[in-house]
Amino acid sequence: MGDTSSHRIGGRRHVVRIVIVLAAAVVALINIAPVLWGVATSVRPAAEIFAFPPSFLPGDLTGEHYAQVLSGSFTRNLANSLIYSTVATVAAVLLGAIAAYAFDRFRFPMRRPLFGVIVACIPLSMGAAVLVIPNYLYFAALGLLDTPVILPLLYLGYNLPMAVWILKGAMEGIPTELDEAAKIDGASRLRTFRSVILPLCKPSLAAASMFVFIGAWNEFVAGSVMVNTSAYRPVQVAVYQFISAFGRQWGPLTASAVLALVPILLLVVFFGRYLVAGLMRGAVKG
Amino acid sequence: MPAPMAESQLSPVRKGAMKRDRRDLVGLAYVAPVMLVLLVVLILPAIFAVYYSLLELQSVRPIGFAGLDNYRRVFSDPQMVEVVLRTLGFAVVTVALTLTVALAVAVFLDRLTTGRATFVQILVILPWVISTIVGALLFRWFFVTDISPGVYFLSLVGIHVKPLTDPTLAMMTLILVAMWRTLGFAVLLLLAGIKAVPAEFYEAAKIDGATSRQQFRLITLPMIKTPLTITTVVLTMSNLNNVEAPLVTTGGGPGDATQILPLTIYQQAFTHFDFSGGAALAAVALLLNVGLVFAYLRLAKWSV
Amino acid sequence: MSTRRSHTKRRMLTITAAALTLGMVAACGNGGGDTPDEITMWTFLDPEGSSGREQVLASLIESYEEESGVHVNVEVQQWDTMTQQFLAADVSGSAPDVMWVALDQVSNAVEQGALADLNSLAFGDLPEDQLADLRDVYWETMEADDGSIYGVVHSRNHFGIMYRTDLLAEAGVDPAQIRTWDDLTAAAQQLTAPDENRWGLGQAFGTSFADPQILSARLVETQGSMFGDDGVPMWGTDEAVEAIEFQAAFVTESQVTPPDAVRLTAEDLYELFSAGQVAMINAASVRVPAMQEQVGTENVGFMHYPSEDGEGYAPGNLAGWSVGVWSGSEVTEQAADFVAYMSSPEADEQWMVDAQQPPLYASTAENNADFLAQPENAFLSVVLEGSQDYGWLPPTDVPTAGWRETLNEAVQQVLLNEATPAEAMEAAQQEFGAGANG
Repeated sequence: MGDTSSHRIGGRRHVVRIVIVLAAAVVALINIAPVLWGVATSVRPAAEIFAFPPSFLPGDLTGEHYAQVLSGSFTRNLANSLIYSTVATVAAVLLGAIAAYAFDRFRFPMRRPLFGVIVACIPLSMGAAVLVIPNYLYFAALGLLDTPVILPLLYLGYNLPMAVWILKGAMEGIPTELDEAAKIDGASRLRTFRSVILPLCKPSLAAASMFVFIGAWNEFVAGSVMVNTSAYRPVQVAVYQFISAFGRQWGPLTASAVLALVPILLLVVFFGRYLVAGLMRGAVKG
Repeated sequence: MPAPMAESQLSPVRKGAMKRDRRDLVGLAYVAPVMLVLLVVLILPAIFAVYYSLLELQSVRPIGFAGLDNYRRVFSDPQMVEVVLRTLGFAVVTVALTLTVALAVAVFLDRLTTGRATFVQILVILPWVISTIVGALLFRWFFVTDISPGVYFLSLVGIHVKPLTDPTLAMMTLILVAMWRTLGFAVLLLLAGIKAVPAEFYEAAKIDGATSRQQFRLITLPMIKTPLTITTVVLTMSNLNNVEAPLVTTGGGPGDATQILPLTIYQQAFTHFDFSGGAALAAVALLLNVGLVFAYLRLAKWSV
Repeated sequence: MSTRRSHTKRRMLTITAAALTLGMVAACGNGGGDTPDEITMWTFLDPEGSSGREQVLASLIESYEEESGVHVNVEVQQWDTMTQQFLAADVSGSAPDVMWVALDQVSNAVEQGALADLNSLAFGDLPEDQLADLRDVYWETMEADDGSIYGVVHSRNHFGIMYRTDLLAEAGVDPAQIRTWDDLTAAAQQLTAPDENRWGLGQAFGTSFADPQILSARLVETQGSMFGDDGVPMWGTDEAVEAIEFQAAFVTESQVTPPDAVRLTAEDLYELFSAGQVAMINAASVRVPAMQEQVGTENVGFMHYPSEDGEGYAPGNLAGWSVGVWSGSEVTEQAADFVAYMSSPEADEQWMVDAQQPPLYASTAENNADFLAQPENAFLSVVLEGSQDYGWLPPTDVPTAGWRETLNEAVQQVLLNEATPAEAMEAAQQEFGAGANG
């Protein structure tokens, strides 16, 4: 906003600006159009869902799909996912930050190989979906199948390597002089961590939390295989159940997907602000 | 509760490192809980999965030891080489495109005021946070099918697009879906990295008269090397292991045009009920993934 | 409780991977937790759901619980991965007592030893006339050589041509006159209007969750079967090559099926049908009620595939869900008793009348002729004719899982000119052999 006055090469800059804004608009449009289409579908009467020509504005609005979704066990599944994701996020960020701190600031035996293990765990966590049958047998042998413990534990494990890595990356950027200063002031390592390091990597803490939460929230394969009881089922599996043996029930399917989006959107609004506010740089902007 | 257990496991290490500072062991204790979780949730299952791929199975039930028979059987299929190459190509193109767009979006967001940035960020993140399968289905419905509203709306403004039946176009569709899904994630990480660059750096550069392009090249890019590396690795891994997108959007077709490795593994076990072949393929894919990550980190001259 | 958990935990650290698979700890799951007054069932039907089938299931469970005092605990699963999960649960000892298995996958479950023989548990005691009443192609296919029965087939399904009555009437096509394949092509040509975005005959050759195609009907029509007794597919024959050429011609020659078919899934097809963009589709009878709901009861018709000469019909694929009992269950008798209850003549009538399901017993159809005569139930008669006379049921004693996807891939290759019909069928035969024989 304020920079137009400082730059006098008006014309060309103006064109560049317009192009950027246009490009951004196109990206944004491609991004949200299918999602908006999903939202529109969720309030359309079943008979109109495939009406041709298509229209974004539904003729008659209906809440029937939402009513159908909410009448079943969906709210229970939504609550499950809230709990699973919150537990996994809190644990991952807590354990991850401490480990990242140690990896970045301490010298200890096996430091490099252990960090290598963490990095090697990233492909393991992302490839877990293709290992679903052996994984099932393994966790069955631990007696963890179909218990309320299994999913938060898995979600913690799946997202922990990333959390450690993101946080370590952030801590690398914090000058060690700050640690030294705190040490001179007589602060313990744990105290330095809490009152110097953590506040300085807030944007990354926010990013890591969102990453873990969304990762846990959106996980599907383990959620569908490791628990069978509907009381333990996470929200994504509940959404998928509307793609049933009767076909894709687009109404309830989109309605449930929209409902499953709400907590995440709240999170993005809340944490996203936090992230974007750019705590490191304050309000001073170019 | 895992801490005391880890502590006791430390004792052999302690002997080996007598001379070191006590702080050393504090460091180990700090990382122990994370390592324990990873051991139980990721490492042991992976070891078990590799072991399982060496067994002779009757459907899912092990009935004996097969050695490398399962591997021999699946890799005797000449198409497997093609599948692996196609998978790598898919991942490279998708990651490169996603990174480019994500970096542009992140820089764009960084310059916006808080309120607007939050708004745009939500728009960008939406496809990432919506249910994977519903998201892919919606994208396909909106842009690709014969009853595609996207195609219809485009035709209203005079742009006529044909439905994608061509094999190359099918691959493009898959790449687009994968990009669409992961863009928000990449933007988020890169943005966090950009935000972490101290403002003084830019101010100093501005005093020296650097243009914004120079600032980006000389300050932003080098400073976000770690988030960039992380994003690249994660994008690569998530694309190399993406089952849902090809399953839902193309099913691997038409022909073999979009048959990528994770889908092949899934189909081997879940469609053809060849669980031992699926296990062998999965074990190879795992090793490939881990190898790629380390190769990449080497290439990026990344060090702990 | 907690001692058991901590015990398990200690065990998890010490046990080697080898011990894990060899089933030494197989009893850790929840399988042993069933008390005799409860049985667990996995199915894709949700008793709390609103469809006819779901409500009938709920009502049957309720009356069974009242009668027997046994609680039936339904754990709703995803239909597409439920059998695979059951096989894994069998190995780990945590499978449900009653299980619904897709028909193509029954042989895998039997081979693994996951299913119990229902004949010795419940059905052996049934009166002779009731058994005779049950005996049809489904029963006979499920019956092993030694007389054991590993499941009763419910949710029966027959493949044929689904059509939009309204669109056919508009174009002046009488479905009753479609007796030969040529009739079908001619009718489809009459209905095809690419400019209006309408096609005569929709088909879907996508390889995710594929349906059986006209290809398989044609192949069985000319060759009698698709699999040899040993389970080896007979796809390399002249008949098979002719059948895939026949299949491809709908796209390449008569052009009544859009080239798009190579990437459509069966689900897409129903949506196109619902949107009125295809007048006839290759479809499953089980989808008729849902389509009736979407486009109006009077607008949906279902018929057999036509035949070469117009006498009789080409054999449409028969499918369904085999409801069986887990061999590792501690309450196999109770579980089998429930399966028998769900499959009793009274229950059968309920399934048919309240949920538009094809009946299991010949007598159910006879006693409800009025019901079947109603236009919205006409498709059930087609299914019955299919299971009695014209249909083709793939073998359930040899592994066939994945045959539909493999054949669809062959069709894709031919339509994309990536292979000649003969090459494509040959490749399919080899790929299928490599995949299925573990």
